Order: sequence, then structure tokens, then C-alpha cells
Amino acid sequence: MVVRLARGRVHYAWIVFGVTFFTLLAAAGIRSTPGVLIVPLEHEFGWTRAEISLAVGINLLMFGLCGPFAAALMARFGVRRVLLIALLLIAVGVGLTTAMRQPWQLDLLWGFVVGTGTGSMAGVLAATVANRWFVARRGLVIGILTAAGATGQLVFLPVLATLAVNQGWRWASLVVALAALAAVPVVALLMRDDPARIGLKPYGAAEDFKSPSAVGNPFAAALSGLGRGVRSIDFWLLSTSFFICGATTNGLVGTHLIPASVDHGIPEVTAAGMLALIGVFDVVGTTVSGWLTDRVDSRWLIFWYYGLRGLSLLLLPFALSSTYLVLLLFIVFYGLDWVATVPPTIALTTNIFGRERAAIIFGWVFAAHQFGAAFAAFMAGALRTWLGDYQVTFLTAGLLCLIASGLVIRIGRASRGESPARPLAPEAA
Amino acid sequence: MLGAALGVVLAAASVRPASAHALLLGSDPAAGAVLSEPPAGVELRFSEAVTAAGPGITVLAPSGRVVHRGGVRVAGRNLSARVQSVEHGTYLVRWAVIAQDTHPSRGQLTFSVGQPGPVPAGASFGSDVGAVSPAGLLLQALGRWLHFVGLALGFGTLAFQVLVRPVADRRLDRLVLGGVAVLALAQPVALVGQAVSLDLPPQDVLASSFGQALGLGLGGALVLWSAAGAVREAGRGRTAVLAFGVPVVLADGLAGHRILGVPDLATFSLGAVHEAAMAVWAGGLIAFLVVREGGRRFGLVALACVATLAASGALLALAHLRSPSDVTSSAYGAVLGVKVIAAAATALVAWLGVRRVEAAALAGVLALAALLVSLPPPR
Repeated sequence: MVVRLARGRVHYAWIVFGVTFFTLLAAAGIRSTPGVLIVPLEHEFGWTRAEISLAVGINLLMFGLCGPFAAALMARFGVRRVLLIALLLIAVGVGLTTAMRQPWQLDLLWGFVVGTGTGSMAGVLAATVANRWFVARRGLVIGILTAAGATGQLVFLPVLATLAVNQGWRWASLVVALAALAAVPVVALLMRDDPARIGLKPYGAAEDFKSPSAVGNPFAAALSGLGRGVRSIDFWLLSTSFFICGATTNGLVGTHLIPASVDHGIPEVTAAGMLALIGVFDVVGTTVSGWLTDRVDSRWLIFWYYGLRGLSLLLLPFALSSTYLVLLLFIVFYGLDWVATVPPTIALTTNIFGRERAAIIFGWVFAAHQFGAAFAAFMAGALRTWLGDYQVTFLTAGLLCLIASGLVIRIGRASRGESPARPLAPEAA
Repeated sequence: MLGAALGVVLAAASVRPASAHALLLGSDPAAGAVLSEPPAGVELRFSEAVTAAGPGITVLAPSGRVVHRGGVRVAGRNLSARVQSVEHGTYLVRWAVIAQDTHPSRGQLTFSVGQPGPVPAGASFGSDVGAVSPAGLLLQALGRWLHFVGLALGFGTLAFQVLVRPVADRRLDRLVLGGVAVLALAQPVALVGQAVSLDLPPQDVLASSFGQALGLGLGGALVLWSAAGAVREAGRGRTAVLAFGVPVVLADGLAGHRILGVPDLATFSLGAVHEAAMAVWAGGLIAFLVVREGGRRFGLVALACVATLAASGALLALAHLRSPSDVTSSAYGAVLGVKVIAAAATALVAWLGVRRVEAAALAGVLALAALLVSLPPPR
């Protein structure tokens, strides 16, 4: 079948793109599930929010840590094999949660197993597929795949929340496990590691295109990139601001907005709908941000994104106890810069560290993003258990965003002169 | 960003009714009541909506045993707790709340079952000033004083640069950053003040309107810090940053005294005008002492500030005093009286042009203002 498709009118790269798109969408949807599970798990097992949040934190941490190394695994064993194993891990991990009895089982299954599985097919998958299969339209492909990853985390929530509320959380988990399982045959049949394997050249490649031979040990490259980064002030400024970015999106709002809304008497399905709406605005925000990144100094973009995000988080405790209209205002604001920070951060990394090193350095900056997410997911739950509400957490997150805003505008002062702060197209991801 | 910041303040203002410090209006059982049977619970009625600070209500039986059960229930202005006891004698009820305007207060009352007996041993609140411990009151005032100084150093210096001497000056940039540091420092001091006022651990006062004001206060400091970096980067934009001071002083209204019968936004605006004029005068003065240029122009700005302060201050005093006799009969009135005299003396020194003395005198007036805002007004 693959051979027949490969000779068809549509370049096979687009079929690989399609498979990757749906896999990323599914993986993101799976990663979002804990948000709707927190309250039902509390009710059934009597676990504290701190205990449940620990598992979510581990999950987000594994997701980030796997990133730099998943790229190496894909280079070694091929995209198809890594994807198949990851999907099976997820299906087994999520499926087994329906039979769990103890908090450590949640930590193991949701935290380690599902975290490793989803982490192996996150952002690096988009970059790997785009680099191997595309020469033309690479930026567009990365853009759409990134949006799939970010938005997929939010748009499935209403369905999952409805399932969890009406049929019970086990049904929501089973549906997620089945979705991962359903992707297995699709990937097995249609995914191919490299165009050369089926006698093709990448999409848009010239006649004399030669596929680049693998360079060096990817694990060693990842670590030497980190070694180079830590000696630069700008690396720390970028990482710290991205840590805050992860803490305030995936970690805090993605994980805890639903339980916080339930605390304030907003039904779970409505709250999930709000997150989905954030996802819709996120598509708009990220697209516009990508467009702006080509035209405006990235530092100013991120400065404004974090500043506005910080102010909207400071508004959140008021919004939650106010009318839906104020809450809607928060959602629009927040949605618009959910991952809008990604294109300018990539561009900034490229500017400062150069095109060759940008991918690896950004891999580590992104790991900081997930450290932040993991930290916030756990801390928000722990503070909720300790103080009894989310107010301190939301306010602290808002203040952190304002700090990030102040940090990014100070990026590049140390290296001023040697590297111009002009924006470049963010295609080096 | 300015619009968003104003949105934060307006949204915050829209959800709270007007009032000042929570006063205990009544209770069930009433203070001093003698009942035949132990009550099933205690209910307190306040002058405005409150949040419980820490346990909120503590009930001690005649034997000294803690007899309230379960968590305290908050329903708008009412605070209640269940009581489980069969003892006869005198019971002690202690309460600690945080009002919508972030001000803490605490108090105690007794009632008896059967025959009144000795009051169970517990901390006495007899030395309380303005319904909080004296040390807490002083720390609250210190926090507010630092906040005022930070506003003056931060936004006042910016105003000096915009209104008096619009040229880049590293010394003045450093003054603004100093203001950020003092503004940020003011918040933890305020937190400790709040906690000491009620004799509770700090985390018990965070889940309240006070916690929100604390967050907004730190937010103001951080926005100023991040905006200072942006101004340095762009080489312009001071006026825009100065405009951000408007939502910052408006937000202070959340932690200021409400005026009964006047919309919150009007009260906030009056307070904001008073505070902004103070910041421009005091901050401008420090900036002038640093650069020693633009004296004539600064004199005019300071004069406008003094006039604004006098007019807005008079309106605020009218709003918070019931009658002139409050000046002698309440702590709030007494401090207000001293402050008016000190402010007038400072204005006189300013008119004479002795800038250093003027600065020292202003710092003193700010301390009195900080104490004033920490005390419950008669009205």
C-alpha cells in the first residue's frame, strides 16, 4: 500500500505529515487528561490535591526530560519504532490506571509511563519529521505541528470532562487508552522513517539532493550543547523566562484551572470548555505571533506577552469570584499568548547562539519550560492542600510572569555588539 | 498594558461593597448574656463582609477547654461556629477577621451558662489599639510607610523626569530601581504586620482580600521594574510608564478606607489623587536633591502638589470624621490632627526653600499618614 501511495500524485511527505499531525494531536489530548481527573480522583479515593498533583508534575517533567533524548532515539532506532513503542506505553499506562488503588500507582503510571510515552513524541517529532521529509515549506510544517501539540492539550477537554462527569473517570481514561491504541496500526502501516527508504526525495528537494549523513553521537551533542549554554547569561535569562512560561501554562492553568473553577462553584464541563476556548484563541495568538516574529524584535514581543499574561493572572482570583464576562476576558487574554511565546523564543535562541546550535540549545530551554510546568503543577496542588485555595498560587504565577517580562527585555545586553538583535525566521527549530 | 492594569483594578473594585474596618455589631449569644443551657453555636455579625483569619472563632469553656467544633462558617457579614459543651459557667469567645478593605481586626466577648463564673484563661486583648495588637499596628504602618516611600522614589522620580527634567540620567534611573526595591520590601513587611496584628501565622492571612492586595502591590513593583528595563532599552517611554502609576495608586484603594454611601471608584479616585500628589512631591524632591537642577520648575510642580494634597486631604477628612470632636475622642482623629499640623509645617519649610529639611519633614508626614491608614476611622 505504501508503495502504491508513494507513487501517487500527492507526495508521500504529506501523508507522513498527516500521520504525525494526528499522532501529536492525540498525544497532546492524552497529556491534558489529568486536569479533568483531579476532582473525580479526590472524590473516589480521598487523595489530596498535593498527592494527585505530584503525578502530574512527574508526567510533565518526564515529558520535558525525554525531549532532548527522544531525538537521539529517533536517529538511532527510527521514528516509526519510537512512535509505536511510545503509543503502546501510553495505552498500557492509561489503561492500567482504571485498576489503581494507591497514589504511588498513579505516580508510576501517569507520571513515569505516560510521561515518557508522550515525551518521546513531542516537539522533537515535529522537528525530525519536518527536517527529514521537507525541504520546502519546512517552517509551515513545524508551525502547524506545534499548534497541534499545544491546542490538542485543550480542545479535547470538554469531551473528556463530559465523559468523566457522566460516565465516570474510568471511561474517560479508557477512551484515551483506546485512542492511543487506535493510532498504533495507522503508524505501523503508514509511517516511514526516511524518504530514501521508499525511493523518494524530501518534498521540494532538488534533483541532486543527497540525504545528509548522521553527524556524531546525538546524546553527546545534546550534552555539549548544554555545556555551551550554561556559560552564557542569555541562556539563563531565556531558560528562566521559559521556566516561568511552562509554570504558568501547562503546569498551573492547564492542570489546575478546572479544579480551581470547581472550587468556585463552576461546573467541571464548563471549566473544561473554558480551557478549550483558551486553545482556540491560542491558535490565533500563535499564528499572529509567528507573523510578528518575522517583523518585530523578539525581545519586545515576549516582553509584552509575559507582561500581559502576568496582569491577567493577577486578575484571575478576582475573575473567578466575579461574573462569567470577566472570566471570559481572562480566557481571551490568556489564550492569545498561551504558546505565542514559542516563535519569538526560538528566533531569539537562533539569534544569540547561531543556526547550527539553536536546535539543541532550544531543546534545553524547552526542558526548562517543562521543569517549570512540573514544578508549578505540583506546587499548586501542594499549596491548595496547605492553604485551602488557589489565590496565592495564581497571584504568585502572575508575579513570576512580570519577572519574566523584566528578564527578557534585558536579554542580549551582555552579548550586544557581537550578535545583532535582529529577528530571523524561526525555521531552525 | 495600561488598559489591562486598569481592568484589574476595576474588576477588583466591582466585587466589593463599600465600608471600612469590620466592626462587631452583635452576636448570638450576646456579649454578657446569661443562658440556662449551653448554646449549640456562636454567631457573630459584622459591619461588612469578612473572611475568617486562621480559625476565625475560638470558644473556650469555663474549664479552658476548646469547645468549638468543625470549621468556621462564613456567610457574608456573619461568622459562625458550632459549639459542643455541657459546662456551666462563663465562656470566652475570641474572633479574628479580615475585612473586605484588607484591614484586620480581632476581639473577644463572654457569655455565661447558669451562673457567671471566672473568665477562662486566654490571651487578653486589653492592650489592643484599633482592634489589633500594638506591635502589629506599628508593623502595618511601617509596611505602608515603605510603600509610600517606594511609590515616591519609583513613580515620583519618573514624574520628575517627565515634568521637570526630560533628559536621560543614570542617577535617576537608579533612584527608580531603588523605588522598586522599597515597594517590593513593603509587601513582606505588610504581611508580617497583618500576621502580628492578629497573632496568627502568615499563611492564615493570605487567603483573603489582604492576600489579593499583597499580590497587586508586588505586581506594581515588578511592572515598574520590567518597565524600567524597557525604557532603558528603548530610550523613551517614561510618560507611558508614569501613566502606569495610575492603576497602581488606584489599586491602593483596595487596601484603603471605604467611605459609606460613596461609590468605591470615587473613593479610590480621591485616595489615588492624594497619593499621586504625595509621590510627585516627595519623589520629585529626592530627585531634585540628587541632580540639583530644575529647581524653579520643580517649585511650581511642588506647589501644585501641595494644593492638590490640601484639597483632596480635606475631602477625605470630611468623609471619615463624624464631627470635629473626633479629633480629640478617637485615635484616628488625633493622628489626623497631628498630621495636618505637620503637613502645614512641611509646606511652610518648602515655601522657604530649605529642601533637606523639607525632605525629612515629608518622611515624618508619610509616617503619620501610614499610621492613619492603619487605624479604623470613626466613619
